[in-house]
Amino acid sequence: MSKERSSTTSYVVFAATVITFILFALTVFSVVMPNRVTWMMDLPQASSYAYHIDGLFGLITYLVGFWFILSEIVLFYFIFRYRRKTPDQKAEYVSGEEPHEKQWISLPHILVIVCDIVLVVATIFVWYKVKQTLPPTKPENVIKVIGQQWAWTFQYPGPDKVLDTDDDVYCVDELHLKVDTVYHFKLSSKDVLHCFSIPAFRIKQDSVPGRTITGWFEPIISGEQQVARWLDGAINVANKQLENAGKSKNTKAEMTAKKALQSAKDGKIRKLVATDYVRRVFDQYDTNGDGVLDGGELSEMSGYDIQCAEICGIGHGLMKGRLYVHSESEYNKWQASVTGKNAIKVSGAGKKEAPSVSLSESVPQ
Amino acid sequence: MTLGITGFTKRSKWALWMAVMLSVVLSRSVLAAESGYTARTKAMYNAVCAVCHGKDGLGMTIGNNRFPVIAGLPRWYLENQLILYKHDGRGAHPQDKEGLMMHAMVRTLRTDKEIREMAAYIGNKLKEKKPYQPTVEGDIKNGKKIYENPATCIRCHGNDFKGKDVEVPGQGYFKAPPLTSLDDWYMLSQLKKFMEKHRGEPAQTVKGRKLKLSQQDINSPSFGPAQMQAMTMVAFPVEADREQAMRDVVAYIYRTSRQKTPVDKKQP
Repeated sequence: MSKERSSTTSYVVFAATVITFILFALTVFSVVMPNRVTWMMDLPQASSYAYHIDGLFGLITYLVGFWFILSEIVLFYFIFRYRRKTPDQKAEYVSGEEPHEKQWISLPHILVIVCDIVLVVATIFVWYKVKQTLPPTKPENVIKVIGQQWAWTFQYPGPDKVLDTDDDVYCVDELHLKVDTVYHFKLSSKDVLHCFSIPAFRIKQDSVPGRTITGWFEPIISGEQQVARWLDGAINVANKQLENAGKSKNTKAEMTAKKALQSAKDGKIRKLVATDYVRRVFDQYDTNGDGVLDGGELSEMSGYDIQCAEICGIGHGLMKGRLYVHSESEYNKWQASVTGKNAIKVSGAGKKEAPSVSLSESVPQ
Repeated sequence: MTLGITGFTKRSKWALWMAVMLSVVLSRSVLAAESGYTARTKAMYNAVCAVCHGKDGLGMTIGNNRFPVIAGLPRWYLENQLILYKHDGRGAHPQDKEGLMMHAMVRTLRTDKEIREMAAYIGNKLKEKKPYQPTVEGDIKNGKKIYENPATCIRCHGNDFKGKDVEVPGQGYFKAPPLTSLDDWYMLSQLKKFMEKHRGEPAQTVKGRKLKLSQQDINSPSFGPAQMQAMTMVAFPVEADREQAMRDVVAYIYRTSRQKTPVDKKQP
């Protein structure tokens, strides 16, 4: 049958191959990329080294992308250029021993090695900065991170600034940090492998049972700064809407815009004037469903996710926490609310002296 | 599209089909409203909860982990506990290993509606009783003495262990759950947790603090556990060996409650 195949057929086969490939690539691109792109835009570079990690990702993507596209072009060009032109044409055997044949292998080979060296050098620089160095910090900024099925426990040194003492503060699935402060964490696991991952910080570190792994991060955007940015955005949008409504003499729209502008100045965001990201996550954080994000809801929204990134049992996907980065004054407020009277005492709580019986009055004896 | 139906015009056939389908949908939703759960709730129970608690809700043992019985618990209690887990009122203490597991698993129920439906499914549908299997040894006489102290256990859980509405002067009535369906090892572990304050008060998280504000209201899910924590402080610190005293009480509750139910009368 192949003997009777005309050159038209080979054109059709070639065109079909190219079209299939392009359609496939477009499908993958259109499904994956919008999500990826919005995800990357939504995720702030909230730690001091997030920018470097992203830079490395970019470098790899662009270098590899360049070679990928170039090699695909060459591949398809050769398929087209050296197609069978007459029905009785036979394939030529190429041994690849002539210098002009060999250079199609050796030249790209050298170029790829050069690019590899660039990538490796860049990687080593970032790796050294993130994992091999430990910037100095004060003892009160050393925290313990304990992973277990399926929770993260964060242990703070407490008022005496020493870990593993009686006044330590424990927080489950909730991490509070001070902005622009270097934190050291000591990561351990109580049962199986977990992975401590904060996407906004671009940090991912496995925790291994029986080992304590030290690492560091420095948050650079506080929740209050985030909220201020969103409010600024809302005010801008409201002003624009007010201007447009004034031009078109739409009194109703003008009223709504004025109202939204006033709430934005009061620290609340209405959905109408929310900027891109805020609008996308609006309903998720509008817990009382009144169409307005107020102070509490905004501060909840300004937190970041903590997620286990190593499969650790059936609850792995549910093993998540929330990270709040505070300005110094807000952080002190939080610290005051957890230390002292309500600090959770853990060591041998049941074996101590009988606690004084303080029954609430509502249950009489 | 005759399907054996004759004597109808095309339009009236269409109307008939719509009526049949509408009545099916309506009756399904009425049924769902009555039982409080949907087919989705059941599927979710079997896919998520049943992994540890079993399809009948009788609990199981996987490796070193024992998972308790949830069958036979009343709907209101399950609802309260699920809400507590969801809002850091239970299972958010770093030493509460089992609670931390449940604390994560409850995140599969994303809304309060789903929590109510799940509580309805477990409370209304899973009624099977676990066979009599005592695992906690204790002095039953001493247990009876502690249980029947009018200031402690019997006050809320009653002499039939079924729990009752307890009057709080000036506020109203709050509910105490039955103890008749629970495993003895589970009751012991929970007593210890209440005693060590691993259970009974909301955690110091953003959600936990909101819950704590509601603790004065006896209808709040966080009210009962706080009282229970206080009660363990009344019942046990006076005992010389607190651990043994807890075992005694649990052994007494488990044995006596099972003997009173007709199913287990043959058992010792």
